[in-house]
Formats: sequence, structure tokens, C-alpha cells
Amino acid sequence: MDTRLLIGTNTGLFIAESDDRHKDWRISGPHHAGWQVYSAHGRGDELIAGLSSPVWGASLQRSQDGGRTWAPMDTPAFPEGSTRKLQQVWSIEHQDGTLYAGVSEAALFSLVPPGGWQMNDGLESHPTRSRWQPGAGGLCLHTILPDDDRTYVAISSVGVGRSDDGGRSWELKNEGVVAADADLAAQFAAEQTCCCHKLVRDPGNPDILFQQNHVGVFRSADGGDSWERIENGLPTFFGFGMVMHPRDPRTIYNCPIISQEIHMVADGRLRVYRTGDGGDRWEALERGLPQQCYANVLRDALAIDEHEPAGLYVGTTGGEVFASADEGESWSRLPASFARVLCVKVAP
Amino acid sequence: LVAPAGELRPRSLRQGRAVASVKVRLPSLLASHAGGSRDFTVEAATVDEALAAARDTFPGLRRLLDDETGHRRRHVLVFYNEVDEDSIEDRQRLATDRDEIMVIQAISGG
Repeated sequence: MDTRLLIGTNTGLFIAESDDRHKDWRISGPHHAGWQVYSAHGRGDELIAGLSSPVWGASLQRSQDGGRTWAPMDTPAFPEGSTRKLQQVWSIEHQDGTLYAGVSEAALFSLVPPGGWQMNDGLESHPTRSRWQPGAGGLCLHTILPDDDRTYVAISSVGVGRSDDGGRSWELKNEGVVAADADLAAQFAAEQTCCCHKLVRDPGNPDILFQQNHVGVFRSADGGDSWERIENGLPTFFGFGMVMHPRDPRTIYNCPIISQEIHMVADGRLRVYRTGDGGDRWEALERGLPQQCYANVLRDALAIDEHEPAGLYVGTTGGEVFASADEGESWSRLPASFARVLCVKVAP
Repeated sequence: LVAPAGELRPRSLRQGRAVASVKVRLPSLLASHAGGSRDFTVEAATVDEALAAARDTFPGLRRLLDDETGHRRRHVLVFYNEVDEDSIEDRQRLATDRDEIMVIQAISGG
């Protein structure tokens, strides 16, 4: 089975292809040179890239031929009269013929072809909406976990949102997500915020959740009604990316970062951490990863595929991408120096 | 300031109206939003029409130049015959085939 990665960077999108053992990589790009690519999505020949620029704003581009040619596609837009501005498209997901986009400022859009993008009014009209505050990356809706019965979104710095009625209404599910550090807890309480950095869900049981939060790593067994801290074995509680194993929902990966002030991998060593028991204990995976590394790993720069064994991928703000063909036991570097890696997405 | 008039040439007719072909030049980053080319032409009777057509010929291009409020983005400059579009006094002046619209990124955005 082939591997295809979409690597979004500060200076464009790259497509990296290999076999499932990652023996050789073929890398094309930059596609959309000069654009920041914070989000990407791929299914077969259809690829979508979320472009943004401090000068030109945000837009989407789509390829129907695996990235050989691209054309603009309809981009989410706030309704006429809205005071909100589209800053970036942070997340692009697909389920059952519907395309979803999560954007800053904190909005969820859906598109059912041949129609256009529709903003989710339930989220926009949430009673707490006027108090939502941005995190360091903006007020970004960065995670969408769509499902017929129970849909989740995660927003920085708002927390986890859950809808049990197809997106018509939403509840924030942040109970128990509290910093262990008293000063940090007091700060978040004063600002009435909760900053989820990445959320993953058991596809077989939508009640089972894990999140990498600004104030720690947490799990929930009740759809976010309550959260439990799970940091045993982790060098730090801070981080951005998190992924779940495609066939074992008790196996989760993350990448610890020093702190909110120092966005650098913990201990100056690039390590991916894994729990195989649902968060009771974490272990470091570092064979083949640089043990002198002073870069960051952003929220969408950690990815996993569905191969057997699963392939793992991690990109750094230093412009390197590493791949593991054995579920994180060993790693090798992709043969290219990229710019700051903003996202790494598997495109089957 | 008044946008300098281009050399007057015979203008073509479109639906009974005299129109000019005005060249639009884009920065390289926007080529992929305009059919893959940095240059295209718009047909317009007036300067105002030409500036609007430059934004609307390709879907989505307007939103890259102007934000949701309709104001030009902070680091975007649009020149009509080398005059900032905000400084054009008579936007109803007839366009000519020698006119050119240039969209560029301001130094402040670099």
C-alpha cells in the first residue's frame, strides 16, 4: 500500500509519496509557492489545500488530478453583515459526501455539493460566543470530528464543543479540564477560557475522547462530560499534536512541548510519546529522531495512517519531517528541508 | 490626482456601449486564482467598471484584494495607470485600451 503525505508549510504545499515501508520518497512541490498552508485534505485524486497569507487573506484550492493542476474552489465566507473575518482555514474534513471546514474566527462550515458553504448557526449563536478569546494561533476551530449522532469540534481557546442533534446546538465540554499549576489554573479561570489544542475520538465509541490541552493531557469516557488528567510518563503537560491509532483506540500519540512560553520540544529532544493503555502510562519513542532539536511541533503536524502496521509522521517548525513505518518504534527523515511545517496530512 | 489618461484608441462596442480592454497585472501568488496567468484583460467602459471587473472576473479574487467589509486589505495596493485607486478623482472617466491595473503587495506586507 502506498503512502502519500500532504505537507503544508510556510511557503507552500508539498506532496510526498512512498511505499508503506518508506523506502524511497518522491517529493513534489512547492504547490502554491509563497502561501502558508495550514490545512490540507486528500482523497484519491481530489486534494484540497487551505491557503492563507498575511497579505491576501485565506482561500481554498482544489486539485482533481492528484496535485498536477489546481484551481480555486469556493471558500467559506461569513454571512453578509457579519463582523467576523476569515483568517485561516484550519481544518478540512470529509464524511459521507459532506465537506467540513473549521476556520478562524471560530466557525464551522459545511458543504454538500453542488451547494455552497453553509456556516453552522448553532455554534455561531452559542450563548458564550461573545466571550470567546483567541489562543496564540488565533481563534481557530482546528478539529472537527463529524458523526451522525454526536459531533465534536475543538477550538482554541474555547475548548471542546459537542453536538448531539446534528449540529443544531452545541454544549461546551470542559468540566475537569483544569491546570494542575495553581497560577495557570487561576489565569484560565479569570479569563474563562479553555484551550484545547487537539482532540481525538474513538471511532467505535464516540464517548471515548482524548485531548492535548494547553493545561495538560486528558481523557474522557463520557463524551466530554468529565475529564481526567493522564500525564504519567510525559516530560511536560504542554503540547499541540495528538493522534489515535486507527485500530486500537487505547493507543494514542502526542509530542510534548516545554511550555506556553517556550514552544520547543521537551528537553531539546524530538520524541513522540505513546500510550498503549488509554493514557495510564506514556513512553518515549525516539529511535531515529534528532536528539538535539529545538523546534516546535504544531497541532496538525503529527499524523498517522491506516497501514498495518500504522505509519506515523511528524513535522517540525525547523522544516523537517520524520516518518515511522512501524508505529513509532523507529523513524527516518524525509529527504528534504522544508520551511516551517504547519501541517502533515495523510492522503490515502 | 487624476488617473493619467491612456492614449485614446478606437473603443470596441459591447451591447451598444463603447468599452475598452484594460490589462490587469497580478503578483505571482495570485496567478493560481486567475486561471494560472499573472495577466488578463477586462472590458470596461469606465475606470470604475474596470476596477470592479478586475476583482470579479475570477471567482474569489475580490476577497483576496478586499476583506469582508469591502475595504482593501492593509498590505494590498491597486494602481490604475500608476495611480493608487483611492486617489483617482474621476472614476467615471472613460477607460482606454492603454489603461492598466496593477495589483501588488505593499512593502509593508513583505
